[in-house]
Amino acid sequence: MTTPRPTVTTEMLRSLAEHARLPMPDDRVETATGTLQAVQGAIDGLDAVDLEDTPPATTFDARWS
Amino acid sequence: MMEPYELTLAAASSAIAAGDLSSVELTESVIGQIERHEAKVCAFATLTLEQAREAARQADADIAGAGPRTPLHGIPLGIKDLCDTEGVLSTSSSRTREGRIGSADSAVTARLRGAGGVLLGQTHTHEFAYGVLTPTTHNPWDLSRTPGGSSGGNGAALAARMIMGAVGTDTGGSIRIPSSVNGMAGLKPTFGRVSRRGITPLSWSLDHAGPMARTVTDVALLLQALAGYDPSDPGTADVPVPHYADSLGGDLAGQTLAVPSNWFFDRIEPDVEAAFRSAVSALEAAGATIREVTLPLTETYMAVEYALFTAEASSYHQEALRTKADLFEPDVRALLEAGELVYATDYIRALRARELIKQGWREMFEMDGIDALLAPTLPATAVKTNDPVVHWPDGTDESAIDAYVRASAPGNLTGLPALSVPCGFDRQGLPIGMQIIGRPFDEPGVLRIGSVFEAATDFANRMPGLV
Repeated sequence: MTTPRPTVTTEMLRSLAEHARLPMPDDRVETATGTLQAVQGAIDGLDAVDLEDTPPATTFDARWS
Repeated sequence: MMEPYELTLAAASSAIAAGDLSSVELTESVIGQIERHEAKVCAFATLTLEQAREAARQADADIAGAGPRTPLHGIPLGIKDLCDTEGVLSTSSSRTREGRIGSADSAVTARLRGAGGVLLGQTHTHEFAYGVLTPTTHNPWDLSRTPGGSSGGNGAALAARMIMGAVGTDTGGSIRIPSSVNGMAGLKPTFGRVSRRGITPLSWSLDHAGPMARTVTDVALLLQALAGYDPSDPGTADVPVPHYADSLGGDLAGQTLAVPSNWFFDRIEPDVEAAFRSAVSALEAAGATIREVTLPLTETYMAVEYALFTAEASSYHQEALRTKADLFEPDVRALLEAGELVYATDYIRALRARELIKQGWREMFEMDGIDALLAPTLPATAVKTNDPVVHWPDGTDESAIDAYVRASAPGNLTGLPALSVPCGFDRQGLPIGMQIIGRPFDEPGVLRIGSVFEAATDFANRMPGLV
């Protein structure tokens, strides 16, 4: 992933929350915007990693017992 | 003369087995500590003292007839409020669950109860284990400071000698952080070693349950009761459970212990680094060979940790966030809102990167012939409750959650067993911890190293001035 993610704005936060069907009162918007920016900023540490064909670390087990 | 509450769990257990101490005497002594200190420390969400007294009387009757059935028989213990206990308020320290009574014992509660433990109550957690501060509770070493979290009630109650052992959970350090800042021992076992049935999840892929106590021996005795496969928790592994106490003591001849040159030392308080380096020297003196290593893929650790726990926590609390959002504490609500907006593709990228981290650590252990890795449990001691920020000597600030989770995340991401032991005090008298990270399911190995270190030092014997 080489395209930098844009900084989260309050307007963007409102749209994302609406699409996620997440109520977002006006008095929550600023805090949520800052927190999402911090979380996505951390997650973007993955941008530099070449995952190649690595599968996800999941634990589905098809056995019935 | 030493009061019963001052004993380690192992010493109390031996005294009970020898007939020198009854469970009732021990339990009353520990309850006395609660009566003296709980109003200041606030470690418990719920106290069950009358049930505990009855359990102690029953334990004494059983022991008189057939001897103790396990080393935990008759021992006063705490349960993190994230873990359900039947018939007892089990609220995850959240107003969203006010009045909620556990309908059944969690697996860990059942195991401790089945081993004969005397349950004194539910200890505070940072709400839903989603934080590292446990703001309800105060650190007995300095009441103005955090007891860490999220198992902060356990850490504070142990330091104040209000319980002798406990079960906690660890998603981003929540056993090791409070163990470190309260001067206690705590083990995040291998992912899959201890069942999480009946424990409110924070993040299914990162959650671990494990023991906390004053000493490594105490932790080993608790783990013996807690460990084991449970088909009702798909995260547990069907791996034989060894006899952990057999691994304790001796020396470290032939052991190769690694000290990372990166990540843990990017930002660290000078007193913490000095205590850690001194601890490494003590282990070298005990016979270990020390080798420096470079940790792989460090740039991904916080990315993977945050992607996994934010998305998974928001999935679990999705409905509550729409029906009673106002009842969440502001810090937890903010993280839950943000987690709703993490893309699925980012979450899966994190799961794929986690696999690379696992492979990278395996190669590091195997190519360098490492038995365990040593690191500071945290880069800093307990922060002030009213200023939960680490102020670095270079003038920069870092939130406590970032600073504490930064050092803890490798243990959660790799799933490897990670034991925190006290390794010193800073110049303000606050405890410092060292973590010992081992190979998968090598709890005996990390406990052995921890026990050798503990035997060479006296940090585990110190008590806060409050006590």
